[in-house]
Amino acid sequence: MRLGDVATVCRTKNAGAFLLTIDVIFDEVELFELARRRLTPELLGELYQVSADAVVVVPWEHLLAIKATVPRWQPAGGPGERDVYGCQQHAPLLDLEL
Amino acid sequence: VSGSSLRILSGTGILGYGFDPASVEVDGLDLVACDGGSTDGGPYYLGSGSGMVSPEAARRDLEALWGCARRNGCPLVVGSCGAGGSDAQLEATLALLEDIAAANRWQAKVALVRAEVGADVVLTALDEGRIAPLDGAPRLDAETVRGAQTIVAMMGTEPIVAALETGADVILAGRISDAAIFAALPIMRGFDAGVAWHAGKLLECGAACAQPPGQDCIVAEVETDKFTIYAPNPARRCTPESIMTFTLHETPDPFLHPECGGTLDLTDARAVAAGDGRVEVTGARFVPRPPTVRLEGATQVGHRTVLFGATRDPRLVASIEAYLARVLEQCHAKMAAAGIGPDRFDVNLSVYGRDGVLGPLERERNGAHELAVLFEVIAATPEISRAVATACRSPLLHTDFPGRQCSEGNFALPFSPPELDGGPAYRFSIWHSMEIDGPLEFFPVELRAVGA
Repeated sequence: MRLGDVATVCRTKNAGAFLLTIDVIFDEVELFELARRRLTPELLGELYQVSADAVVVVPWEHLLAIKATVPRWQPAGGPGERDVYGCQQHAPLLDLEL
Repeated sequence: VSGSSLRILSGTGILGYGFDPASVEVDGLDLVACDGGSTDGGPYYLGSGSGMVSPEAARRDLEALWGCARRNGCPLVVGSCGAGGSDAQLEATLALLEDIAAANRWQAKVALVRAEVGADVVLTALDEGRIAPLDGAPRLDAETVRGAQTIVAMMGTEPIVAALETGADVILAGRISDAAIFAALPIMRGFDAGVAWHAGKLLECGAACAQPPGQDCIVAEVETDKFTIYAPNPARRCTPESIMTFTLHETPDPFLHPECGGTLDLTDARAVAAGDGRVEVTGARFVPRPPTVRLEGATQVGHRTVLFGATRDPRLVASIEAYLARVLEQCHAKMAAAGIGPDRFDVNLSVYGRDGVLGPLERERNGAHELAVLFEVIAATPEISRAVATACRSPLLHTDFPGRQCSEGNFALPFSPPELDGGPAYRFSIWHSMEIDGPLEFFPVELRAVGA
């Protein structure tokens, strides 16, 4: 099953000018557990083309949410920017098989 | 604690984004406040001093919120005025306030709290080893500090408490932690700092934490060990889920939120439905630490011109990469012939319909039937910037390509002229923490009589 078909929230946003933060939220604990096992720093590093060491993943069981933060490709809003707010960088997650 | 609870109204996500006019018809308020800015829109606003919203929109919201504060006999606080919270942006918001005062014959004691920092102050701190990069920013050097157009420091609650203690009717602050705009009054009145900061975190984006989320007011009632949050607009409701989901927003760690003078720890925070679209929130803790401020600086990198066009030709869509390379070659050749070398400008290309949004992260390889191309030119002067974009236009229209049938022109251009002036371009060059001795000395309060 695709993450994009089962997550209730799948979104990205700047966390300040130098970081991009990813939130994925589910409404069933089984889906959350599947995603928690799948969304490793290694996988996110590959999807977002950053070193796995630079990826921080924080699961939040209470909310069935997984938050991950990766360095931005460049500080927000400089020359060559493609997404000033960082709010449309979630698509690489949607096709992920859980 | 003086009084058992405090009622705080947040106007909207950013002053000028608007709200339902009926949402400010709330009684018993102890504070009306609104966030005036953000770094989300990029470095332009801090660098240029322009606002993120039109002056008309900011004035409309400011007038309605000030009117609300006057009816309630409580102070109005606006933080991060004008988007970046620089001195110029603070003055622009003060000018709106003066205009509103004159139009309504209102009078007010206004406290201004500036947040702009001179390069000399930052250079001294740099020499003394009091500056560290945040979030993976590069190490700061003196040249970057001297080259920055505008530098601001982000204040916490202390300067706003000092301003409230003067009895000011309206407080306009430069760059400030979004949550501190709302947390200062409850902290001044002796409420728990954890509760106050957490309430501030939820209030800062207006009704973004409600269902349906939107640009509208939100109210928090702060008590000794909890706060209750609700939307005054009956069309919106807060739910424990909407509240906790909002806690994740724009932060790398949902549990630990670093602020000036402490860390807000939400590890044990809980939200429960309290009926009627209200949510009760408990469990936040504020752990003090020595004061540091975040420095934000924007540096001008040149002038931007934008050229936008699109093709619907299937053969050009299929060969776009090689085509654009040849367009750029011709642009460079024309500029070189005019004596302008490639060191004096950059052209950044985005191809929408291919990978304009995700760039190198794009994995979808199904081709689109039409493609739009955005040329972003950054050059040292507006004239060179425009010249480069113009030198891209004719090859974009007329370069030959294999199997070309559309020999009158290859790109549909929506505008006349096709080259659009984007004004000065900036980048965030400073994103660092600076240790300071005391927040009160660093962010002095200045009193003004408005409408007198």
